[in-house]
Amino acid sequence: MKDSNVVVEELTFFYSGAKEPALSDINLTFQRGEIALLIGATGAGKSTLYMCLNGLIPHLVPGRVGGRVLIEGTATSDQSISALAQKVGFVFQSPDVQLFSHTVREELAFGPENLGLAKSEILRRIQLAATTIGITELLEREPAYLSGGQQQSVAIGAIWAMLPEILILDEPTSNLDPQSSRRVLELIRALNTEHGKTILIAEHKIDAAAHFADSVLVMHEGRIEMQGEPRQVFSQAEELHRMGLVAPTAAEVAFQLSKYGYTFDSWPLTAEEGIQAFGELL
Amino acid sequence: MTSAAIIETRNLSYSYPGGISALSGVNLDIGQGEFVAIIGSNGSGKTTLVKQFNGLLKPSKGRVTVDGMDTRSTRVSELSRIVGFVFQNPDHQIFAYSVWEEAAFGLKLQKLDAESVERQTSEALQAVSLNDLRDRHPRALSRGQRQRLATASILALRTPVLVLDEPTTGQDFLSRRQIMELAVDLHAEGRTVLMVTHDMALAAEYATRVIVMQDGAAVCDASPKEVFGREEILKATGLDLPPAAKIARGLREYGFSDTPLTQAELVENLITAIRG
Repeated sequence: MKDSNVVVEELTFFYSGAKEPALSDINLTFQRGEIALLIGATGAGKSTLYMCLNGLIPHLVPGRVGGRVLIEGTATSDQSISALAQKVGFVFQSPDVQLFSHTVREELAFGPENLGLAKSEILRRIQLAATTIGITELLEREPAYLSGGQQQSVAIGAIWAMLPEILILDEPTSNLDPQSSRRVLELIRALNTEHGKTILIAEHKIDAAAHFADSVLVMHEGRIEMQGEPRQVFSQAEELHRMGLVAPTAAEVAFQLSKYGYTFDSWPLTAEEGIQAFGELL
Repeated sequence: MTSAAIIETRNLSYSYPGGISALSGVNLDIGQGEFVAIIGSNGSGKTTLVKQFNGLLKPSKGRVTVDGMDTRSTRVSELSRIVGFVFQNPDHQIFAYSVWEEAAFGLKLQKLDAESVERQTSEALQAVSLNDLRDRHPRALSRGQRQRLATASILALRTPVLVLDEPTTGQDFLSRRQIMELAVDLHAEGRTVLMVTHDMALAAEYATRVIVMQDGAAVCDASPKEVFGREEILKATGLDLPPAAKIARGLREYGFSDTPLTQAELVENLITAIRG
């Protein structure tokens, strides 16, 4: 039997006073332990979708909702924001929006403290988050003076300490250099494969993120326009271009070559796959 | 295109309060009309370097001159007529109550007549496709739109030098292309463009010169072709090849000998090689 911990059915949302829906007819299912990549141009509705998943909609954001969102089998409208906060963790694009404490330790303690947990449990959560994320050596440091990559790791750790089953990350590498980006993406993948968390990640850095998702969701003007395995979605470069999006470089090059009549048994996504596919043509 | 240096640094060193050294012994001549990409890992000194160019930071040692003026003895208001600076985080820059007010603010400070303020502001907003939203509150814009507004408010000043700190961060593909086309147009008009970026493809595609920063020093300063040909530098500084160049390098073992930097060049070279 399928074990889905996120189910979105016929979801439509109008912001208060808006004539056009920000989301229309969204149907989605995430299996437990699935990692999904969300892409879409600015204004496609990604942020509105996040807010529907963590309950800010309908609890805090004024507007009109149609359809429903089930988190761990219960509709978000029937769960409190704080109950949802323990199930759905949200990591912001810029860690400096999220981080405010004097030490990393306090930052990691903040979520568990707000849940009203016992002191021993809070300490356990701090230790667990620091170990899992690999930031134990940073616990006494001040977040403001850490590198961008370290700050993003701390932001993920602070959410991890709440032990959510579902993690949403909004462009977690956008302020990071290539090496730190790779590390953060590797960390996210490890949280998925080693801990079985369900992960929804939005990224513009498609070359770095395309290959590691189980599925890709493409949003455009409030709708899910494409949905499928990465190779299937990214082989449709023309469709993506129409929505102001691009495929990874290897897939884009394959698309250009296909216009000259060259064909590919398996559509390349990564540089390595591109090298092999194009090498065979040479 | 390139003529006399508009920005010169001589033995430039800078330490943040508390003594943390951020720049050491940087010597650069930025020529008028250059399109320079400054790359390097987080914390390598890129942003600290460009903040010296409009006097936001002043050298601890050494000297920076902008259009012949020593930044240490020149007011920021004076320097900002030469160097326009678009911040990485638009929220550090935006404060007005409407898009138009925000974009017009710098011009009003320069005490330009109302007609010129209107014209230059509208043109700048048009260039970033925000003229239709001119009465909107900046907080009601998306992050990508706020980044473009921050760019417009500097564009309106029409400074000969433009510093773009991570201009495409958080931008989708279309906005990224739009911002870069704008930078290309400004460069074609003869303006000097300095761009701090983590995006190697961006540096490879648009810059005429690439400066690599590491631990506060300029460790490599050459054409994109040369910089991205020096793998040892990229490895040592934690940077990547642009994706197209990475594919091309891997194709060497298949006898591919071209060294394209951009996707378009790679496609062109591949087609020629396959047909050959």
